Amino acid sequence: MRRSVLALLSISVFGASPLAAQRQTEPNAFTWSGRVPSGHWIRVRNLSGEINVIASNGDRVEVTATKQWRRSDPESVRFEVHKYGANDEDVVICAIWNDRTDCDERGYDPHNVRNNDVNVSFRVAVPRGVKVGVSTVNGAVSVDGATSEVEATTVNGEVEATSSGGPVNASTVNGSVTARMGRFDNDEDLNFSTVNGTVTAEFTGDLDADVELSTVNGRFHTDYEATVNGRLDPRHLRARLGRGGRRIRLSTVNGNVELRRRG
Amino acid sequence: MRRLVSLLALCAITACGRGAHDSPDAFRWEAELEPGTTIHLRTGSGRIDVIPGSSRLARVSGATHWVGRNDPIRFAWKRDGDEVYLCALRSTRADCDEGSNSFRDDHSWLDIFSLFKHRSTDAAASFHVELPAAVKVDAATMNGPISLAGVTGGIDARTVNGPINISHVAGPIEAKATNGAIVAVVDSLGEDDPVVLEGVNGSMTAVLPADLEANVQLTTVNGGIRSDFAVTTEGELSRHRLRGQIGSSSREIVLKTVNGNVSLLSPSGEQTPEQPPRPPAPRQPPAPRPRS
Repeated sequence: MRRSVLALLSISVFGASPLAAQRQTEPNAFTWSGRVPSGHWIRVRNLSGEINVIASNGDRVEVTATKQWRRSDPESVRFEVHKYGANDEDVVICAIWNDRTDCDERGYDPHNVRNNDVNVSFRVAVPRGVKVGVSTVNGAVSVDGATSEVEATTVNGEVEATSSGGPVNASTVNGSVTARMGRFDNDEDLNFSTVNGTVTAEFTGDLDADVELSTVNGRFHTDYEATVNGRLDPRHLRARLGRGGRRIRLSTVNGNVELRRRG
Repeated sequence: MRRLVSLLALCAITACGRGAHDSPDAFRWEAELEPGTTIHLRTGSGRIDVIPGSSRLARVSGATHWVGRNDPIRFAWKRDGDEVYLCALRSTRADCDEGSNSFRDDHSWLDIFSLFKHRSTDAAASFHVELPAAVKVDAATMNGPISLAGVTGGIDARTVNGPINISHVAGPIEAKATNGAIVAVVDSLGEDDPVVLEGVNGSMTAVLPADLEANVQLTTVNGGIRSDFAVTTEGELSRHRLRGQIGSSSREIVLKTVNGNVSLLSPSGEQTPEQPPRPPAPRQPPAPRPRS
């Protein structure tokens, strides 16, 4: 009886201590608004925190970031905006956790960030025709309302990317990938991958492609007529859709692989 | 002395002195068979071999093999219109017809008092057949292989223990082996002729004409699936089952086993893609590269 009372008292003391810091939020910790012409890229790079992309009603890209933290200094995270490409018409926005962080249109390397609990959530509104490239490490990525090309990646979190056009490429490591796209003209290869989670790619209308579907622990499903021949590898299936053409790879280790027809 | 006693005991246990006997010409039968005739071959234990003949005359020979006493195996035949039955029977009461059961012994309740009657024997009866063209073969054995070559009128073959080897044949094919592999090399098929190979323990292999069109079902539980033909499918793609379409025909091709591989092969042994593979597409620019 005495021990139980002591245990309860110690829990309540720790619970009330300043060590259990309250989560704090700074909305609009960063905002950026600018014109990105149709056919050019808006890229957003993040380390900890989700990225949500929605459609913009206007003709400007609107980016806002919200910081959340408990113990770390929120000022340790800053934001950079770079323009690149012909006439500087493409834009990359980076959340920077330390001075050694490399961030440009080619990639993002935060260089060993430790003991920093600042979390940055991006919200990106994109006008029609603007290409979207978003990446984070810890957090989900959601793209909805894009009308052109999309690249969406994370490491720990789900990826859900939808474009009324395309193409869409999406990847994560721990989480599922869902990519939906409309009709688009080019015949570039497409990749959708994870390690732990299901991979689903949804296409609109008929599809001419050569697909490679890989899973170790999971099933294959296709809404499209797929033509297979040769030895059927239980973990790696190659098939031709329609007349064949672009290569589409869907791969996971633990999860299903699904090729869906939209509508 | 002790050695002699041991030898005698060993002899009693192993039934030495029960020598193996062969009667290669135990049965002969021949008759002219018109195209469309079906020849039914039935034996309980023993092999069945069919090879193509050079005339309309079918020649059937039966051979027996036994160890120890001679079992009462008798050969019988019956003709009923286009159906010819040839049976190796171990029962004096059995008939050789559509409902014949070659595997049934002459058992009665009095057998429990017999020192000999209820013993199993090693007796086997085999068929060797020279078959005219366009005659269908219906062959069944329980213990023994079946080999069918040059049969052009269709095949129905069943065995429990033993492989089935079908080569250079034509027409509809149905073959079932419980413990044994099945290999069927088919030269030609009629418009709707099905090919059904089913087993439990053993691989199923069909080599079919290069211009094959069919609805295919390839199934195995423990084994791999291979198709030289381009099979179009949709829905769930299982590692154990492939259902799909080759061309537009509704002809059924079923290859099914539990333990073993399933192979649908073309005569050339080459895969038949609908189109040659296209060259690789140029690489994309690098994607974002999180490195922490």
